This record gives sequence, structure tokens and C-alpha cells, in this order.
Amino acid sequence: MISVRRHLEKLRKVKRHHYHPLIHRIHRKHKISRKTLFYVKEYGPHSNVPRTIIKESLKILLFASILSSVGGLALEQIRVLFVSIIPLVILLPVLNGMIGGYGTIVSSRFSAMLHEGRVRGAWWKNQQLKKLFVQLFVIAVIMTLLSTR
Amino acid sequence: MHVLDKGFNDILSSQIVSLAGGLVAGTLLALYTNQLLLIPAIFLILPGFLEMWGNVSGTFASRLSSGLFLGVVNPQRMHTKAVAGNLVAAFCLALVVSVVLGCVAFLFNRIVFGLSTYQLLVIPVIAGIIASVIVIPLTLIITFALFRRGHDPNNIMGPLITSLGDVVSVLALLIAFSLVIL
Repeated sequence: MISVRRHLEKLRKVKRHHYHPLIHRIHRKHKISRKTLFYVKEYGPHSNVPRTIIKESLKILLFASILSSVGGLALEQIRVLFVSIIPLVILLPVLNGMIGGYGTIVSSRFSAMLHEGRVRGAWWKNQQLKKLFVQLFVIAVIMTLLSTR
Repeated sequence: MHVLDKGFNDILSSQIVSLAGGLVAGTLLALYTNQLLLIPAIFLILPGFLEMWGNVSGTFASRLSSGLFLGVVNPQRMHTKAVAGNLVAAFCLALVVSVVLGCVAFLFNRIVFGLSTYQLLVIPVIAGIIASVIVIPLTLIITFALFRRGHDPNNIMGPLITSLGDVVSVLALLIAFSLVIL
């Protein structure tokens, strides 16, 4: 019993990138469900949910904002020419969002698979992931054809 | 490998909604080009501001979906610590990113174009507050509603939020501009 408690305490303290292997080890050793272990790590009574999320997301979000502003700098330099081509202005949000949409689908589906322990060994051999990429490729072709009509 | 399954239909329909939403936002941009051109260095802010909702609300929806699938978030109860924490985090992130966007745009405008436009610091923040009050609660409600109806929110929310964010962002920028400048 003490061993379980120690393991759970260790899980609470562990950094995110060591999170999955430990969860699977505790799950195998103590037969505690992965859902419970996920809860203990992420949203346990002593964890601060907003702080955890902000701490993890802030750096990459700031990096993305700065990168987008660099893209905006190029647009700002051709401001007058850009707004004179109306179809380009109409397509700006579509082009801006399309790749982000695919990226979000892949990342959210893949992270759900990782959390559920459905990806073991070589991730690139995972059949579900392969299927997702094929689906996204087909959809990207359809969407490109639709948006150019 | 059966590619044309329910997931495929979900992704395709959400992408079509995203395309439609993007075109609506683009049409708004084209309609209000004259007003938008009055906003100093608008194109420095615009790509980052449009992208922000995909980054903040998209990941918010993704975290909620993971929680719902794992069973740590109850689909019948929104008022839990995990959901509230996620909601607060999404609001804070949107606000911080808006502030940073304003600062970066101000700096770029000053360094590259030699103009000191202080309104650039305020416009993205006001627009960010207006848009986050609309987009973030909608993300929460739609994610829960989709999950309850048996859909995978992971397939739908990304494109949907991007398009919703695009439309709301353009309107929020116009409102913020009219509040600050006019």
C-alpha cells in the first residue's frame, strides 16, 4: 500500500515528458486504471489546472504569435497591392486557417491516442494514425478543389 | 483500411464549415477594407489574431475532448474543477497572446516603418477580450454538445473554431478600432 502511495506521489511530481511511461508502469504494477492515473497527475486535488495549462502552452503560443507577426510584416509591406486584389483578401482567412485545422485534428487525435495508451512501440506503424493521414490527404485534395472553384 | 468512415465524414463536413466560415470572414474583410486600412499596421496583427483562436480554443477543445474520452470530465456536468480550470486558462492565454501581439506589432511598426502608433497596443487587447468572451464559451458548449451526440469533437472542433474565430476576430477588430480611434 505504501508503495502505491509513493508511486502516486512520484506521479504528481513528475514532469510532463516522463508522464506516459510512468503511468503505464504504475498501471501494470498496481492495476490502477490509466484514467485514474491521468486524473491524479493532471487534475488532482493539489494541482492548479490553469497554472499547469498556462505554463505548458504559453511559450509555444508566444512563439506562434511572433511567427505570425513576421508573416504579417510581409503582408504589411505589400498592403496596398494586397487589398487591391479582392479575391486574395477573401481567401486570407481560409488559407490562414486551413493548415491550422489539419494540424489541430492530427495533434488532438494523436494526443487522445497517447493518453488512452493506444499507441505502443513505433508510432509511425500505427494503423489508426496511417488511416488518419490518408483521410486528411483525401480531404485536403477535396477542399483545395472546392476553394478554387 | 476503410478510409470513408464516420470520422472521414466528420472531418470533411467540419472542413466545409471551416471553408464557409473563412469565406464569410474574408468577405467581411473585403467589405470593410476601407475601415480596416485605417487601422494602423492591421496586417501585422491580422494573421496572428486570426490564428490565435485555432491555437487557444482549438487546444482547449482538444483537452476537453481528451478528458471526455478518458472519463475524467463528465459529459453531463460542466461545473467541475477540470473544466473551470481549462476555461480560466483559455481566457488567460487569449489575453496574454493579444497583449503580446499588440506589443510585437508596435515594435515591428516602430523598427521597420519608423512609426510609433500607440493604439496598436490597445486594439488587439480590446478585440481579444471581445472575441474571447464569445469564442471560448462557445467552444466549451459545442464540444460538450458534440460529445453527447456521439461525435468525436477532435475531428470537428479544430476547423470549426478556426472559422468561428475568423469571423468573430474580424468583427472584434472593427469594434475595437471604432472604440479606440473613432
